[in-house]
Amino acid sequence: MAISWLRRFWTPTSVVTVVALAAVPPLLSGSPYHLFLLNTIGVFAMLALGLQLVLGYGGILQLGYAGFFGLGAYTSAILTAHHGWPFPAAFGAAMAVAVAGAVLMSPIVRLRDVNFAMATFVFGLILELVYNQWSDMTNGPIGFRGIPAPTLLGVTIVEPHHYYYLLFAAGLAEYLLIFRLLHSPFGTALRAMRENETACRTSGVDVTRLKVTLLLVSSAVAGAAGSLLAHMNGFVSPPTFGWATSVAVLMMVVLGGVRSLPGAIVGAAVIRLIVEQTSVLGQHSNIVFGVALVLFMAFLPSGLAGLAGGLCARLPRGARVGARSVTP
Amino acid sequence: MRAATAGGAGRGALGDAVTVAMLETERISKRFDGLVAVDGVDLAVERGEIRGIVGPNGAGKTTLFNLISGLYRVTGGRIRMGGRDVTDASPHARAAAGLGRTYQTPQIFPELSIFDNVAVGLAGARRPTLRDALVGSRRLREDARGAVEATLGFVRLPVALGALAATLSFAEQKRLELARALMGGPAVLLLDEPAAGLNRGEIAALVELVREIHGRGVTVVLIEHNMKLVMGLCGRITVLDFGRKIAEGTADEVRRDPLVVTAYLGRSAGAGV
Repeated sequence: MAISWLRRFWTPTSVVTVVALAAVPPLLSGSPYHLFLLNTIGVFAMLALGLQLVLGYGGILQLGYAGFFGLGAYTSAILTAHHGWPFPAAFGAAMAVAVAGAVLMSPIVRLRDVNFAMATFVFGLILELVYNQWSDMTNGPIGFRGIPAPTLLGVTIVEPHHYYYLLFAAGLAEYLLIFRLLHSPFGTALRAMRENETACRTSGVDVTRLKVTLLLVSSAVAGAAGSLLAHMNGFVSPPTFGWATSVAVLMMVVLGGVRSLPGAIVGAAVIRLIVEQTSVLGQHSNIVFGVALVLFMAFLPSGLAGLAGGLCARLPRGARVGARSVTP
Repeated sequence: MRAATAGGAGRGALGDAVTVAMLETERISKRFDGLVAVDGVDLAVERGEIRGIVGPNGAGKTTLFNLISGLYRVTGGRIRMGGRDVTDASPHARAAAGLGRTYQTPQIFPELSIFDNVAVGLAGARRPTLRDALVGSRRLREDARGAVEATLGFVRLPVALGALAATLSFAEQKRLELARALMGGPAVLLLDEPAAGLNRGEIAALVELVREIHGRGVTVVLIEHNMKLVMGLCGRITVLDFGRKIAEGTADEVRRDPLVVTAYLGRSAGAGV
């Protein structure tokens, strides 16, 4: 007998989506650039999913998220390139170090609202500073080169269409993990905390512990994504893990739709595409970014997921396949 | 529903069993920037009581509840539950120790389903952990579902489990909140103006419900303005005025107390006494 949360996951829409995503590389095999772009989207989708858990479901504004992405990337890079660690071990260490970073940050969960958000932002800035300044370890602003391609079960994953499957597996595992969490008493407490923290506390929920757990889980995910980015590109540099990326991931969540896991993935895709298309503008791409965000907030406050939900609601009943929300 | 957890009887210093108050406050005070909301209140609620807390608006009744449930830190004094000092315990720890409460205006989770609203109350009995979330058994989930259904039935809230809590009426939201409080298996239940905003029929049902809850061994403390309800339901009544306890006793004793008459009943003539 299937486990209930898995049964909830396997809707016709999710089956079609998973199969379609698995079938992409053969279709794009003649176009490495597009596959590379897709892989980048995959890494950022992993980040956006992690932030969705914290922000969308827990209602916690974590503004230093990219810093933990960096912890994973540099840990994995340093351990494989300088210390000869195999990829799986480095990958695990990347997650562990990101979690350790979150443990260091965890005392700030006692701060409230804006103060908390500011503290996370500053924590992210400190991490960015470390990546820039600790040249012995990170090679500073010049960037860290020579990160080896990952070897898994004796196979070295070099080609983008192979790497795609590595990301696909990691992303799917992450999605299922978060989906599972959300459909447990833990997830119920999480959503309740967002709605009414006072009632949550007097109902017996340890909100401090819940927030710390959230930060740890989301950081582990960011660390994993960082490791995968490092081995994909073979090169990492500090700006990728700075405040601009934190804001970009935040935008992915907001644009895709707060409280929607598919929304986070779609948001990641849209934002990455905008970044790619406006990269010729250099620094000025931020202007496009800013304007896009303002427009989206004004016209699509519930994000793309909200738009999709609204369209589905207008369809005749029979056509509403899999149009259910993540929350039961 | 879980049976009462916090013990009401403990052992005295001499080794013989003595009655320890289920809920006890010892000279607790709360000061907000010069305003003394609660001023040295002693309260001792015995196991199995239905205690009424009355007093004019601004007497400090809700502040007292916020102190007992741990939402506010006391400025002075101690709070004990079943003899155990919980003055410095967090709200969730007090809930786990068997303290449940409701609010004057229902504090629900409007965007969550009815089921989830009630299920949150289970946290008082079993903390939601990451481990349970990842390897939690099917049994656990089925137990939760059964408990939620039973509790909703008990508070007479026959609604669809999947509906959003925001769709409930005011009176239903109060019962939803009560169901959530009961899920933790409280030994002591604090009800903050349970009858406020209810019509006559709903109040009658509420009185019945409180009696049933009491009948299950739960000690009840309730704040109420409806004097008829308090006089009919509560064995003992504590009267607060300007943050101080001015009287305590049975309905008859309190009714006759000259301090109470001037401070409370005198001001709201014909309050149904």
